[in-house]
Amino acid sequence: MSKARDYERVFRESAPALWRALYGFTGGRRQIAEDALAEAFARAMERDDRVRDPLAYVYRTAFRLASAELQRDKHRGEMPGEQATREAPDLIGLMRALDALPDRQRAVVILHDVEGYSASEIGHLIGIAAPTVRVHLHRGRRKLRALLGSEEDNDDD
Amino acid sequence: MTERWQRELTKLRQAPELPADLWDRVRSGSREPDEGISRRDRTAVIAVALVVAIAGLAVAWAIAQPFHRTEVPGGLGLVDMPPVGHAAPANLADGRPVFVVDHPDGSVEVVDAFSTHVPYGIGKLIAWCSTSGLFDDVYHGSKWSEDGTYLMGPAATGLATYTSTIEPDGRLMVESMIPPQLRPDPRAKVHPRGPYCTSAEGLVYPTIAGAVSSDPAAVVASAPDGWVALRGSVVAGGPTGAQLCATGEGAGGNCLDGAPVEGIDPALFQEYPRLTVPGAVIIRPPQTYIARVQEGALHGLTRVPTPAYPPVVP
Repeated sequence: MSKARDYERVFRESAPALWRALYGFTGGRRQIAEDALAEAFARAMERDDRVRDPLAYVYRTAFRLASAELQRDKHRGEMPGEQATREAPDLIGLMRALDALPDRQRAVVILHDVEGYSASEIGHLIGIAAPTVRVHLHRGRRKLRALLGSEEDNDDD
Repeated sequence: MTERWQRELTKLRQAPELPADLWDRVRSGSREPDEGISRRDRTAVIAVALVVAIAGLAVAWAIAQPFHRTEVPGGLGLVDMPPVGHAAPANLADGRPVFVVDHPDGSVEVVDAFSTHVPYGIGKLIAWCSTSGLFDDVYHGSKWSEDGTYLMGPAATGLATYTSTIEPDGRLMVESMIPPQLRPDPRAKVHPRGPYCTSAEGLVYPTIAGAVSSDPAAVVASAPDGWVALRGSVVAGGPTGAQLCATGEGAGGNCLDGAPVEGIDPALFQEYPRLTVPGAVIIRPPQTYIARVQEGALHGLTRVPTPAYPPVVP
């Protein structure tokens, strides 16, 4: 039986969103985000016969690889957003705030509030229970509100 | 109407574009475990590394001999890691039951297996429900997330957790306890609800270290260190205070084969008419508990759920 999955199509459809999420997740550490995304897709393709849901596999693997690499980076004492300052100066404040969140809260907030996934979709993608996703979302938002401010205004965003 | 943090977050949509050559990198294959080393070179590297490692281990072993100890230096215990995405029970060096959760994102959590809902001073261990991905108090329905965060039920707090580090051999060194966080309004009643653990197979129970003794008095007399498992009935309200009795009922709340239990207020049980028998209060038929022995009494008496206990169903 040949499943002949079209990974190029999966990549075209899902990589831009995953890339943005990883870029935010890594605090603008572009190299880590690129490596994690490419490696996750490459592993999914190589292990296709053992991968039930390619998208969930790619998300899980990419966040896990990025998380491990971030730990190493933090041990080396590197600060977030150095590249973001140059590439997208508007993002530096956000990157620093996101960097203060634990990995899971950061991943869940980005996937929910930026990419628009529901709690159960996120649970499926990164392999945790939906109620746990909601807990991380609530805590992550509370912390971001404390770090970035909560004043409301009418804007057209 | 949006708040500032929300507007800041949406800026992430302006992140730099996905690098154009990334699909080519994907097609060039996985770089795991290391790229650029041929298979023959890799074999040579592994062989050299093995020789160096064995020599290093021999030297380390020789140096460590005079200091060999059975306890765990600098930590509360060494525990095994479960497979990624799973939770497994483990015991710290003093026998304290915990759960080790290996999150799919690569982070690891050690969560205390003690429910923080302790009615009448009698604790209980929790279970892990693999179908809901939550910790369950199978007696009274409290639930906590996989990182110990309080979700619902009568417990007043989250679960205690532990700091830990991964050792070179892949095991986990548990270092120190992080006390549980109080929930925002601990007195508010938050009734337990789903997701429920609907199949007994989905429940993973804590492990208890050592054999279960059915002679509480003998255990107290021998005063062992750490957490010990005992089987008996709690009798409270008699002239001798609360006891764990091997045979169950005792005249006037007394039992000849019992061990005193600290931390239970017998007066509380008098207000609980269903459990009252003349002169004493017997709590349930004999069951398994864990406790620690201090100054001739059992402290921290905690019920141990068993697979025989039915899962909570809606």
